[in-house]
Amino acid sequence: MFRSHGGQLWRAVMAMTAGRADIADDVVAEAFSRLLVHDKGVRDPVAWLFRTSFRLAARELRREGTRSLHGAAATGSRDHEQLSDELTSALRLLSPSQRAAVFLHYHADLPVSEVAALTGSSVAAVKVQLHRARRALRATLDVGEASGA
Amino acid sequence: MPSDWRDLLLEFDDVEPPLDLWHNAVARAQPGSGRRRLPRLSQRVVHGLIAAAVIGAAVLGILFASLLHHDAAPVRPARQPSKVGAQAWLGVLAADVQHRIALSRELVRSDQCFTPQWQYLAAPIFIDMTAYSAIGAGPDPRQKLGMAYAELNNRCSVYARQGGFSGAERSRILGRLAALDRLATAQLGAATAPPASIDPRVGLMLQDIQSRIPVAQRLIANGQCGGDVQKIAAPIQSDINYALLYAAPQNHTVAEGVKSQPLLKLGPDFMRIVGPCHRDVHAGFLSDQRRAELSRQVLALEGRVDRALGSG
Repeated sequence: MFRSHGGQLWRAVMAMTAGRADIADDVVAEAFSRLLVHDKGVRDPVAWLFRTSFRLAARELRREGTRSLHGAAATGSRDHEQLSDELTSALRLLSPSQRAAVFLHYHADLPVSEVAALTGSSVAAVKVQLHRARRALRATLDVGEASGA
Repeated sequence: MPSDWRDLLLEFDDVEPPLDLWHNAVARAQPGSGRRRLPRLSQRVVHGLIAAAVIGAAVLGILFASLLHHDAAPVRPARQPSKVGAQAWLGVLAADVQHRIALSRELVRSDQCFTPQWQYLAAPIFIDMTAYSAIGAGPDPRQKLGMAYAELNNRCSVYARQGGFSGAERSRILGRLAALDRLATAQLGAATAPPASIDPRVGLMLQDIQSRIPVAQRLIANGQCGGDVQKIAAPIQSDINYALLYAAPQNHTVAEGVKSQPLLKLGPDFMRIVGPCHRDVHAGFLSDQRRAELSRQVLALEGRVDRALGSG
């Protein structure tokens, strides 16, 4: 399961935290370690891993007070060096749950129903997240084009 | 900001988790370990440790073997570094990706992922990426083209194995192809299509030969038709097989294929040049006479390919 889903899960957490590799490393390792301990009691391990990882990551972000749009990691720019400034800036326009939804739907090509299962949300909530995310990203694009960026 | 914010997301194809992630998870699951944040080793450190372990084991093995077999076969001369550099492989890789976009689009539109034709089309990209990785020259924007195409291949295959993809999923894959097309154009300029009178699969084969002729020339000139020549021959064989699926539907032979597509012959002609070079080098000796003859042949082939593509 780690071989087939570990990489994708790690990238999803990277997206959700706008490029925080340190948080992604920590929560994904923690999620898998918990699954190793509780394996027999988990009905859908993949969905469980994703939901657990997102929950742990959200807690880390809240703890660091990085939920605001302009929140920057206090742990240093090295954590963002895997992602370009362009991508990181775009992700920071969105809330963590919007980032996760965008990544899972537009990058991992998952249907809305599956995104809902992996994020522990409803289909309607995911559709709202995606709509708001598209609006935020498009608004920045329009501003960028208008200013000649 | 790029013209489509979705293009930015392609960047996630290039990032990888640390190699010790699973090790950390297992360590945390041990009784009494407690939850702790383990220090993150950089990818370079981990790669270095693994490389050191492998090299150390190889050195020990060699020392041990030499102690046991000190009277064994004579020492072979040291292998010369390849004369085909990173830039040459990157050029081939980038051109291959760009040349394949239109045909890939047609296969996706007609639900032909994970078919023999798809495998023949995609195989050269993986061979090119392996050739470049073997040099260890580090990341390059052109390598990103190959990785994006490989990711597309994986997605297509996964969907096909699951029984097909929906209209929305097809649209997304086509969108990713379009993004890849834009990326390739930004790096290489607009793609040059083969003449419309040529079957597109044969046209692809000719373009792939054209990309590889400079590599073949260098290998022949330096008598290095070893492993590297296989890396340029295998893609052309894949192209020939791909073209034969359409040009020779009865028995997929070159004899049948050239009846409807005479230019198909240039593929086997390329193989008839690099094959003897490989054989002679493998046997231990490529004579100057043979080297000169093969160089003439590859030059002549270059002219024929260029004329066929309208670039000569």
